[in-house]
Amino acid sequence: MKKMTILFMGLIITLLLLPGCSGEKESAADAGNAAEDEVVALELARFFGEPDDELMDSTDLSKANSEAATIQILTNIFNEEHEGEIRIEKLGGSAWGNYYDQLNTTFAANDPPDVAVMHQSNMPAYASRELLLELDDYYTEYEMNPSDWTAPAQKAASYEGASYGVPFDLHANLLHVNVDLFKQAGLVDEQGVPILPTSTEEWFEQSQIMKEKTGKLYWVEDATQFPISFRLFHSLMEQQGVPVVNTNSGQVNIDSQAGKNALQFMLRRFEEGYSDPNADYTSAQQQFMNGEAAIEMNGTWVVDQYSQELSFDYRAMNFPNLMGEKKVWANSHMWVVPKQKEGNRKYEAAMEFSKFMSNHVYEWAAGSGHIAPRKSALQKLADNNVPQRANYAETASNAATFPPVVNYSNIETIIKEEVEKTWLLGNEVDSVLAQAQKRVEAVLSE
Amino acid sequence: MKTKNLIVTTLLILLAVVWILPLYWMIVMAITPNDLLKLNSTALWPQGFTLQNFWGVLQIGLTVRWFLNSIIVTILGTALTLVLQSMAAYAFAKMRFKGRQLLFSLTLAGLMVPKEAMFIPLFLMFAQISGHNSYAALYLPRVAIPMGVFIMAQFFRGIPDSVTEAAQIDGASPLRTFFNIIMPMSIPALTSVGIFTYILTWNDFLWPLVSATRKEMFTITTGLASLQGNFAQATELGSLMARGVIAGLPLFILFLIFQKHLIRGISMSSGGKY
Repeated sequence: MKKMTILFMGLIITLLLLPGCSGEKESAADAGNAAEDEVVALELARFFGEPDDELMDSTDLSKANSEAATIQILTNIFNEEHEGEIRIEKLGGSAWGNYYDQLNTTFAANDPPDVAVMHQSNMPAYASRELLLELDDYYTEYEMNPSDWTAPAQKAASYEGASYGVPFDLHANLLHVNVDLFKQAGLVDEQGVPILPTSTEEWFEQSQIMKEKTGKLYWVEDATQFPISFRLFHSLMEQQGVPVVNTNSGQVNIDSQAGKNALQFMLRRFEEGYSDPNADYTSAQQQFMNGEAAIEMNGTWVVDQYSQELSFDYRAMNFPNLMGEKKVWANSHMWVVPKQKEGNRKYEAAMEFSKFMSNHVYEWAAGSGHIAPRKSALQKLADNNVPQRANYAETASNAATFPPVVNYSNIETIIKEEVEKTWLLGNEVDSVLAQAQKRVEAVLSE
Repeated sequence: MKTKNLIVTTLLILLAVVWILPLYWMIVMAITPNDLLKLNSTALWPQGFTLQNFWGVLQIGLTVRWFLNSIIVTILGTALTLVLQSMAAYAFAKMRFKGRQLLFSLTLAGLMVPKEAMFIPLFLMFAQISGHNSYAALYLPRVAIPMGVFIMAQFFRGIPDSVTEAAQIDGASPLRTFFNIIMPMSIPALTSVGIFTYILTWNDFLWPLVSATRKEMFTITTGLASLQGNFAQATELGSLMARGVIAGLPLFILFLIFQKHLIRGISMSSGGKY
């Protein structure tokens, strides 16, 4: 019995003290001993998903036709070009729904990745806590040329006077247009290009014409699921020259005449039956793809999918100017370098990787549909006639990113929740705006 | 009486249909080509037929490794949980020592602490010992979940004291009494706790997501989720559903085999008869 007891206790202790039982210690040790190792193992955190298995080792850019495929192929090319020097070890792999949870825990554990992709809107939350490396000096050292970056891209990488990111793209709201339905409704110019409204009144006139001539919805968007409603509200506020939050003073302008104009317009579209108030992301996309709606408001990331798959004449177009100025919601992906516990040579490797990605924004934009953040790449996209890109090139300069605030995600959620209450719950516009104003002010004062 | 039975039966059938419908829908979408689902995902009858969604998942080189990781983590976690929790429960139910009631209350109070609240401390603990990306980091946090202690303690309390007293009179040590007398009598309760632990560990997502950052250490839940691109619900719904079916299949088989014990376990945890 004693033998059995000892054996049993031994088994329990072994199971409890088994942190070494993994297949990963070798690579972790490699990372820790980078200084002694010729090859720097660079931990990369990103979303964008994984491509098919056959592309996991591919370096063939002609197969780069999605976010997942393009980023993997670019990473493979980087690994190939830096063989024997730097090797990328990708961490995690979630879609962006879980990405920041995962990233936050690595920061909490003081073990962040060496290089990470980040949205412009999320960057201030990390920069304000001094978790990211300031990159201004590195730009010079690595011969990057910020003057080649578009103004929105430069703005996106900055927080309180310092730069924290290497811009990778801008992604914005576009209009995805069924040209056949526009032709049927007679809403095209001499070249057959759809004529978009230039005011909210024109918007309703066109909607009426579309309904009468085709029987189809004029416009559809995800009005219930992702924060597309927030993006539309933000765009319409920016078009009136009144940002949701003032960059410098931090003043919140939601409960204002501009806010009222924006929300009343958004609500009226649903009330008059020109858009579907219950559409989520998938059903909005399905309505457009099935030819049941003439326009879908969605992002840059669906351009290539639509170009390849739609059975009707499709055109991606700039978001129209409905309220005064050409402005549209945009966000940015950028590469950031988290500060590490001790200074180490991985900063150099991280900058090598960021520079490589910055040098390949043309390939990224061509493969993903996003807007290149470099003027030279935008020109190249136009010169090479990459499908659809010229149709929304103007968005690169119309892009209105949200002011850099630490709690962007909360603000986005609050505005989405509140404005949607008008068409989903029947709440009054005034009360919704007042409530949103109050909640956003509370978040900003935290 | 017959009418009452008919109403109850009809109600139960309706509830069963409501429960089964999403599963059925998931399977329908899993065998439908993605291209068709992009245009319509609300059909309850397959619009086409393909096994490509399943084949695509199985073709991913690491799927087998993720399955293996899940199996290792689940089996080790379940075994350790059963041993430790039943020992603790036995002490609470059958042994007399100072502070027993207080300790038991404290253990049960653990049921009220949401696991999200323990996340950062747990993460930091494992980070301090460089324990992340290991099997131990994946199964150890589950070992201390108090539900098993509660279920086992309830069961042990139902065993007459005369059984343990008789063993003591025959000269059995407490450990021998526990292993040779009590444990064989507790197989139904152990099975129930084991199945619950197995299911919870297999389905765990958030902890493996943050603890295992290297793809070789993903479990099947985080591994399959890692394949998902942005807006997968709109572009790769069939693949998404096929991943769900594949990840859930082992549990479904387990349920079919052990459903009797599972139902008994539910009645134990709710204080019902068993």
